[in-house]
Amino acid sequence: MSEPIKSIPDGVVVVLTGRLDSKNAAETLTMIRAVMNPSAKRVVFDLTALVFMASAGLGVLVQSAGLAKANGGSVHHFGASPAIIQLLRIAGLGSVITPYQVQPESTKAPA
Amino acid sequence: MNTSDHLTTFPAIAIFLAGLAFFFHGLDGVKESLKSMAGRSLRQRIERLTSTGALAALWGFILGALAQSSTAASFIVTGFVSSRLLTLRRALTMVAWANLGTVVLPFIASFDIRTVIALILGVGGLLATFRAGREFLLPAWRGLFMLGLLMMGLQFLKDATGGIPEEPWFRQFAQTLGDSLAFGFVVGIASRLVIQSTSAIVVIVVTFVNSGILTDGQAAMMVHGAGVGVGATVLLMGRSSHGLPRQLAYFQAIINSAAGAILALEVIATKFTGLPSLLDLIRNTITSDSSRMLAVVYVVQQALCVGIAELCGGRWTHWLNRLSPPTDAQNLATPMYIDQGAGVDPTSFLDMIAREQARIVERLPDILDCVRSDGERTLAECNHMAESCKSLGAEIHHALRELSQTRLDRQDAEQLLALDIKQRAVDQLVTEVAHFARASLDERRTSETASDSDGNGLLFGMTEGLHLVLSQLVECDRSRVPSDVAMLLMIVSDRGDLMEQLRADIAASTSRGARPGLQYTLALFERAMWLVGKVAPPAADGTDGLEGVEGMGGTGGTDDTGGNDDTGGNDDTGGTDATPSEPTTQASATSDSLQHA
Repeated sequence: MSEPIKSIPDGVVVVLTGRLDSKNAAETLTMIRAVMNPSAKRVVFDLTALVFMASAGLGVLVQSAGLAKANGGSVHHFGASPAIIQLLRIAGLGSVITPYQVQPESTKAPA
Repeated sequence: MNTSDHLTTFPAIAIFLAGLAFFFHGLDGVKESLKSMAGRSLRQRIERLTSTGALAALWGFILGALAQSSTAASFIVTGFVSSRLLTLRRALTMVAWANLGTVVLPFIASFDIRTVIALILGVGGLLATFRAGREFLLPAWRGLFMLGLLMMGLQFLKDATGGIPEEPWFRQFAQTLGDSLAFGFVVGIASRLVIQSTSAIVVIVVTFVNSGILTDGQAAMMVHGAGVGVGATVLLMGRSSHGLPRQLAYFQAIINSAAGAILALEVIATKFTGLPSLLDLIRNTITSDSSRMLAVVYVVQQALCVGIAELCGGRWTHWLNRLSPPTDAQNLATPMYIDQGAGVDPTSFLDMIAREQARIVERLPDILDCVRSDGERTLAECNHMAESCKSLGAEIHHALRELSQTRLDRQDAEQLLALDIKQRAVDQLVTEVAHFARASLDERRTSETASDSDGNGLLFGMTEGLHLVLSQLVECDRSRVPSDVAMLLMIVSDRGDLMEQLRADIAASTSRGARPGLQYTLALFERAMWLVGKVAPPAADGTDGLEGVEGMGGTGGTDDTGGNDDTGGNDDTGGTDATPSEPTTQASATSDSLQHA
């Protein structure tokens, strides 16, 4: 599921893969908490390889949003499948975790 | 009915089935009525009536004497325990003594239980039909009628099966087995399973002894076997119960089986050792008449049930809790705080009520378990959970009503009103979430049958989304951290546009457009989300937590997102007021019962 977290200039990119549910949500959140610091204003979730997310996974996004907002920052996502986008929308997270239009450089695969 | 027809003819089989139906329907009805009546005041009255072990024993004895069936008495007491009108400890005493109570009437009077049943059915049924007396008495009349139905069910079972031992084939069978004690014991168990009355079995056994079909020893063994049969019957009839009702069934099974088994062993041991038996003792000291001897054996057996129950006293509760632990739902329905509120000052009592309320909020996500991908509960368990939330909610309303009748200062009165309004919203939320779970489960089945992946995706999104906000609500209720409360309100804030869009999506699809159930589920989801906003606690700093939160307090939007709009956006929150707007016509949350407070 979660790969090592990558740094970007003003925050971090969290890559989520596979399934994010009650089995691994706590572990993922602990990992995100560990890298969150006052300078991390922006948290970007790379959901390209995320195939399934349950409410516990949504909870991870919400908690991360809370941490980022406490720093005066914001939370975004990119690469989500239509099913995940629909889930975020129905759950009411459309304004809490907004789409990141351009994939950050640091997350692109080397040419 | 014609008692000469006994399970060998079609009418008798029909009556047997009717008996089962009356029994189970009556049992459910008694439980439901008791639940409707179960308030703090009735519980306090019953607590006073059973305040000591001796009083509980007396009521149990009377109940057994009136019901003339230890099975019926057990299930009536179970109804009281399920409705929390009686503590388990007192219930155990009542059940134990009800066994002894069953021996009274058959021996002191020629008493036709049918007359009593007819009277209960007639009085209860008429009073319920014409709604006699004040409104709160209606569940009592219904309960009385249902009690009559339960007893009539047992009587039907007894009538349909009571004649079997008189059948020529049965007599022939008995004679071929000679003087086998084991035979008497096994027949006793089997007879009790179908006849449903140990006293009726005693009467039958007496006729067998008088006609020389059974020896005294076999007859005694049949009575002892019937004791084990009581246990088997109670376990069989209460097999779908869990937790406390199951504990009572185990208790009744254990004491009856133990009493029957001990006395049966005594008969066997004395036969093989040549020592004087209980029968010899009775014959030499009380009576040599076979029918009276067996009556005394029956009394001794029932007294032994009480002895076994009393011997272990308070340890029963511990053992039974291990044997059949109370379910989550039963634990939830039992107040943890407000029952200890007698005599405390209003401010502390209000705090206890708030804690009790938090217990309901904590279990809200569990009601969705049956429909979630990683949920562990079945629909029935989720329904029980919702019922328990409602039971505890009723206790909270009772407590608030009682408190409203005392003298309160302004601050306490305001808190009382706030708690009452919140409780009303919590009650509605419990109902909506339970309805949503049921509707969602039905719709998911329909989607799977119709291979409607879009419908399934929508249902999954609604379920997980609702579970998320309920889980967040629990966190906020615990912590009251302003930013968490703000986040929750942001999530549930006005979803009018999104919902309209989802409704249109459903309608646009021909296959799903023909499914009003999906629209209904969506409406329940919308309403539950709106209610979460109503239940959300104020932040610990007294604000609604919205100030300073981007997009919620007017501090500017998240422009760096680079636009967004495939997620539906959230512009409709208005930026300043995240309080959700009512999605559908909604009953006012005005605290009508407390207007006088």
